[in-house]
Amino acid sequence: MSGIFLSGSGAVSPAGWGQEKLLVALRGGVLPASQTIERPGWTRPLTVRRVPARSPRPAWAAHARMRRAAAISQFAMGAADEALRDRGGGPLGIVYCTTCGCVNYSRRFYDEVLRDPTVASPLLFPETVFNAPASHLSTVLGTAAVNYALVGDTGVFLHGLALAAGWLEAGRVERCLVVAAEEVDWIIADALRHFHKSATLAEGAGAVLLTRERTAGTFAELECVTDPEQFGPKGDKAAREAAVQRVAVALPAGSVSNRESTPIGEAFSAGTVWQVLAAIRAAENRGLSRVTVIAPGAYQEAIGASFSIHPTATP
Amino acid sequence: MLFPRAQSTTGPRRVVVTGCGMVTPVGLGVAANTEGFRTGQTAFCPVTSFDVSRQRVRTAAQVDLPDALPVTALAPRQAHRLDRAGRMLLWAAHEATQEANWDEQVPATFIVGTTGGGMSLGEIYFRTARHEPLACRQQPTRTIGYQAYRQTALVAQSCGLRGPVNVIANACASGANAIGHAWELVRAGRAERVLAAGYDALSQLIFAGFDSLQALSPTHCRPFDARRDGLALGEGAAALTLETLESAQARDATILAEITGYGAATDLHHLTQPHPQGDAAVATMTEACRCAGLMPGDIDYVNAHGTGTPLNDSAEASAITRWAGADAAKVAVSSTKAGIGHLLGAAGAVEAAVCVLALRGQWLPPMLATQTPDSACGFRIITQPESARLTNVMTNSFGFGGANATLILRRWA
Repeated sequence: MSGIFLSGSGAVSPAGWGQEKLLVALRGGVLPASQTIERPGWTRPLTVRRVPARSPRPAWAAHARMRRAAAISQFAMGAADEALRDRGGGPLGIVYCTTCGCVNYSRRFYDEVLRDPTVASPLLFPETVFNAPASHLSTVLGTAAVNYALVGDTGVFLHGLALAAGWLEAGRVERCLVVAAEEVDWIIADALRHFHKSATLAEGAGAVLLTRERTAGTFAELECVTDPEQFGPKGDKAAREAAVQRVAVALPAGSVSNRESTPIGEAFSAGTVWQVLAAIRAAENRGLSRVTVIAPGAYQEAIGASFSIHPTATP
Repeated sequence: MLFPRAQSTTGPRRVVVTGCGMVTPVGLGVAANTEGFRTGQTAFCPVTSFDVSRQRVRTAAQVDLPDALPVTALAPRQAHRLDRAGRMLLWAAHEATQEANWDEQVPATFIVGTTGGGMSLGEIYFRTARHEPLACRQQPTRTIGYQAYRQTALVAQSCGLRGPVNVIANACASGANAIGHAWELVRAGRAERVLAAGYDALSQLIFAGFDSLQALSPTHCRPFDARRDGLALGEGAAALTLETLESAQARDATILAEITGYGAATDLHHLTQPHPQGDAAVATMTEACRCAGLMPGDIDYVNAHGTGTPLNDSAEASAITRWAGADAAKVAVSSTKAGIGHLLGAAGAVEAAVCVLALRGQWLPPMLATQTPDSACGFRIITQPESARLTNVMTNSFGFGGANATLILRRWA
């Protein structure tokens, strides 16, 4: 046993704010409604799945940092807030993971720059940096401990779990939030269609609180995170499948493999958190003691992780 | 396995640097950079990479990057897909790994810091999508090439690194965090060898962003000068090979320096402004010293973050003065951004590499443009080239979002 526990979790998804809404939607097979967004220069819009507006407004939304924060930061904060039900405890580290990052504000800011850089908004620019959501999380949660933003393929969340587990083992922090978030923008939906014409871009976030001690909220234990297996640079389907197989071989035997991304849509790093939470819940419901998750990756690598289920607890 | 990983059972291991690669506006390679930083060379010029005709500021420090790339394991077609930032990273990584002469059969982790990654490809993608909405040619390639993780994986492949890859995007502290994280992995026995790097190229979006914040100097970059009026942007990359002392000695490698301390913390004051007294900076300097088992009086030189903005430099001056306490007046401080500007995600790595060069050559990098040190500086500002006896040196990196990091390096003699 690793002694690294999953002691809190949260999700924000097109199914709504809160992981139960996500898990119910996945279990029932009733997908959230899709929306369309305008694609400049096209008469036909793009189809996406967006996070619905939250009502009532959470207390953290009134924090000065969150007033102008991009959607991706709101999602990350919503998931983190749910995962951190118990705010007490020692130093809290943060690992924030993303694949696409703060694209909405980046696209808007660059559009303004091309039109007229003299009036490009200085309010938008700071929100374009990859670690802006991570910074907001630290500030709103009041933790000055170490905070890393990781950028990577869809399995970057699993890299984040391994990083956080290392910090916990080293005694660097006592608790660590690992959060992944993505947001919808027409430019990402436009890019996605180059690779998957039928894919629907989705947005949201997921978060897991890792601890060194079992707590009342503990629902699983992190057993392992595999080495990533590269399938680039060509990234063809056969190479990708071979990478997935290598990851599968590296995972503990006798486990349930859940390598499918959620049917809600392509949410990149956030989708991997949803996949982990759904897999753990499904394993618990079936009375299994272990579950493995493989993130096959979108463009570079496959990676997997294994979790032991703690049946007496409720996620 | 990324987790769990084998750990040292005999306590922390000593971590040394056995290879160094640099690409900066001063020059390509360590040799050119050594002379440039020793003499305080400046490298600012009109920006030519993109249109700055409507910007308030129109200069930056640009790398004179050759068209050709070093011969590596990367196929020419793959190398061609790297944008300017990726090519600078490749140059630096290649130089460092060549110097380290690592056996490719031993897996090495690659940890990279960046803020923009392949931003130039992202900009082209956007302009094409916006102005030629039906165009598809090369857009998929740009989509993939834009990803920092993809660029890093390609460079790892080019250098024969067969271990995991991580990209840390902690804004302007990214490069320092990458080296610090690498140091932690090797020190704890979680990795035998790590190539740590930082890279960023000038991009229109980021240049315009700093200009929109009026953070760019309309005159020239003068860190810690009483009349300082902003930062200058630059571009570049640096890479260091980190391994255990035992590993380096066993293969009779040349040891360039030892990394002995690392501290990281988050400044909660503001998204883009430091705490006025630099509380998080004090925390990271103190933590790095604790790791290294040193007192402030043991630090001979601080390579400051020193951007040249009024707010950063006053906060850092306060932090260094508070951290050093009674020893403040003895500490030599300079910022190499005076010569090459702020390299953003590359800054922490390049400045750590400059510390390696300074330790090797026993000199202090000067800030020639700083004429009238701010009265808030309770330490010794280095404005002219000088030789020095350096044993322990420190480098600070602070970024948007409050990412703060400090590294300590020790002379290997």
